[in-house]
Amino acid sequence: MEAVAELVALLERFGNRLESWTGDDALPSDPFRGGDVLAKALGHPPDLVARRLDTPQGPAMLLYLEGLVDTVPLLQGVVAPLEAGVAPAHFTLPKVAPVFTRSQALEALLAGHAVCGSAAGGWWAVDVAKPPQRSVAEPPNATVVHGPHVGFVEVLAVNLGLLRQYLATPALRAETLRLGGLSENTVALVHLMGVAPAPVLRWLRRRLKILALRGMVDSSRLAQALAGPAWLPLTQYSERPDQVAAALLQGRAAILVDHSPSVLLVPARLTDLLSSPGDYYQMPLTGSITRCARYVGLLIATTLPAVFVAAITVNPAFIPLALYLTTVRTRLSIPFPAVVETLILLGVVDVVQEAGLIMPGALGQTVTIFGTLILGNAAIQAGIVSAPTLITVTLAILAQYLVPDANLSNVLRVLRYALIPVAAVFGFVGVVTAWMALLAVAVRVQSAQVAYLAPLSPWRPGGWRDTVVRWPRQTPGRR
Amino acid sequence: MRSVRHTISAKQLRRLQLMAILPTTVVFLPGQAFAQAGSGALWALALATGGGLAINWSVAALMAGHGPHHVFQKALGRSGGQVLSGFYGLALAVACISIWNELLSFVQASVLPRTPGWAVGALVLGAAVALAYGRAEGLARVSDLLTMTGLGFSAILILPTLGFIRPTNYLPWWPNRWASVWSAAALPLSFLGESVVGVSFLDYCREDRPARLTRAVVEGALGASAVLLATTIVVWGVLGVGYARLATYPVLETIRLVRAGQFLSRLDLIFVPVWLGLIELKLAIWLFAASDALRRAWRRRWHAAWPLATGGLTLALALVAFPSVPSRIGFIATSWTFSLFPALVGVLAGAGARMRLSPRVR
Repeated sequence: MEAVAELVALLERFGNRLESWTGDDALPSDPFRGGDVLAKALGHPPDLVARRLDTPQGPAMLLYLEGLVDTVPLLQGVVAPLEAGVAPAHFTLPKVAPVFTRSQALEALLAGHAVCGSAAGGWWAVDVAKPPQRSVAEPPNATVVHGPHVGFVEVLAVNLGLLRQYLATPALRAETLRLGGLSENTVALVHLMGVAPAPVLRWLRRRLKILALRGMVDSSRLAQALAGPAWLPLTQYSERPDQVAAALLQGRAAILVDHSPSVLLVPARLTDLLSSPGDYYQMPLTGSITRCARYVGLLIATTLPAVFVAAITVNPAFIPLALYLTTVRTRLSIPFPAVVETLILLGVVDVVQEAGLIMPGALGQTVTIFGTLILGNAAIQAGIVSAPTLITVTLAILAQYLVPDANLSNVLRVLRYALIPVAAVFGFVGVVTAWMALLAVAVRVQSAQVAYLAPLSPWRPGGWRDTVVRWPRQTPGRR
Repeated sequence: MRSVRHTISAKQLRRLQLMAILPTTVVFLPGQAFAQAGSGALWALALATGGGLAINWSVAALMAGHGPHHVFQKALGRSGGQVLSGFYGLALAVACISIWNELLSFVQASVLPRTPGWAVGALVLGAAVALAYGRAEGLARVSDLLTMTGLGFSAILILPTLGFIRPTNYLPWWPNRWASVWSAAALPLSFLGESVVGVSFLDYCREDRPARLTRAVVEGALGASAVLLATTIVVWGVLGVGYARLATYPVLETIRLVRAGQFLSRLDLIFVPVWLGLIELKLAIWLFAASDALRRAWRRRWHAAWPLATGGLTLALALVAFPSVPSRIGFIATSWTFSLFPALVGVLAGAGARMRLSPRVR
């Protein structure tokens, strides 16, 4: 029976789409029948308000989804004029449009518009939307000491407005399209005309058109569907309008999704993922030091535990004698080999980290402190792990946080685990060879037709100015 | 003839040529030169540099910016071109055996792996095939990265060694016996004249001016020669001829002499990982050139199986046939320096000259 019910629902949905596609779903002129049609199409939800109004021209029907509309303009700009006999075409509200089909009316209702209809005046959609919205505040995951303290919110129009504040130019272009099969959402491809390369825009338009998504809940769905190897982040997330504006000026494109504060920046090269808006708000020297620290951090986060295991297990001659003797002395009572000990400790730290993220606020901090301080100290005192291993793992974890992009940071975590077994078997040769294999794959990866490792590979003269360091740009006429 | 994608620039060709020569050259040749020529090592390498540059320029100029397979077909027709492509690929595959030999010897001397040679070889084979699978574009991009990395690390290593140079080690400047200098120059000449592999990337180059392509190939070889000469001068100054001629890898010994305090007692920890990466890239470049030539000789499409098969076969031969260091050095001399290298130079130059004289081309 459940299968039959599912089949009936599927057929009904297909029938609705077919009618919408053929234009055979015109709303009935009778307002009550029309109201019933819309309520049935939505499944008679509890937040749907269907109100009968008596107007001088005859009875009328007003429908809206409670919670998505602003009641003040609804009462003053829709209900009162209707009862006074004013035709919807003469409403003083800014956005009033006629609707003719069921699909148009449903789309308007779901966007927070009020839909009203009468036998004499037909059906109209009036924009009185006021969806739940938070204030424009600095995103907690991308704070800066200097620079603007604003962030994107969940409303596309507000986000576009924020961008326009930074880029008050007619060259700013926003191409909108609707994506998502079952639950459509508005997506805006934003770029600066004449600045963004045409191949990048062509590729993005083509990819966005052929995307097959059931729904568009958040921009992350879009980022994952934009192709490329699943193990590398090929789009950059940003919740800061200043960062997006700077990226647009660089010739990149931004994808804004309605109901999502995370804007996608494409192409996203490795050097983009290792830069942060704060780099540009400090002196070039300190900004360059921070950048260098990130690149070093990338190496430490991925390779330090593997190098430790290689040095202890296979190539002891590769570490200074004094350090080796100290390490061996502390490991005498440890029951596990270095590789197992390192893997266990990394696993424990990752568990504590995840628990700290999932637990709310103060509880999360408690879990982290308990996990790191008490558990770590107890493990060393009990002789289960050695202090050098704990120091190595902690350094690697801390270095991971130098990387500003969360997706890239997680990839580094996976690489760290992958390198350790190779190091345990082959030592330094294994670590170097694994990195060469990684490089072999990474140099072939492209993000929106742009080499992932550019401008370092392929090498572009002067490309280093805004990669490993942040060189001051004071030359007149230089963009 | 199928068209190829023009994916690399002339500058990338220069760096590819550099990487196709440099990694084994800088580690392997100073020891050989000192062992054979003593105080005449620098003279031998200077002679080899001059000869190598002449060979590089002649081969690249005669090929007029075309890749070897194009030149072979233009010079000898389709069938003859296929035969020459097969010979070219097989000759480069034999050279790959030498590169495997050098890699495995150096790994044993520097890293002391606990795993047997075949396991290390299998691991390196995986990385080299992954690199070669990226074809000219992928190899050029890795060359871009490693050239910059190599330069950075070289600066870190060279600066402290300069403080250990003893001027008295440079005496006498003049070699006692010139015969030893001539014989010591032969092996470096075959290394520094290795434009025979660099030219296989000419087909993939975006640049279409033959003079610029010739210049890129020659500059790549010139860069490798300059690094080799500079390294030899430093090794001579730090170790002296007596010690340098006894060491298999005098570069390693030179770096190990640098003591930056008790804690940082061995700077070769920095050199060895960088060098390992470089020689894996060199192996990948040669594997690609060899397997690309072989698949063209059979007129087959490019696939990862080509470098895998070429690499696997050459690794097996390197492990089985040449287990000891002396046998490996003997193999290089007999197979490459005095037979295949001159033959390849002759074939490439001859085909290039025939193509340039042919009315079909001009």
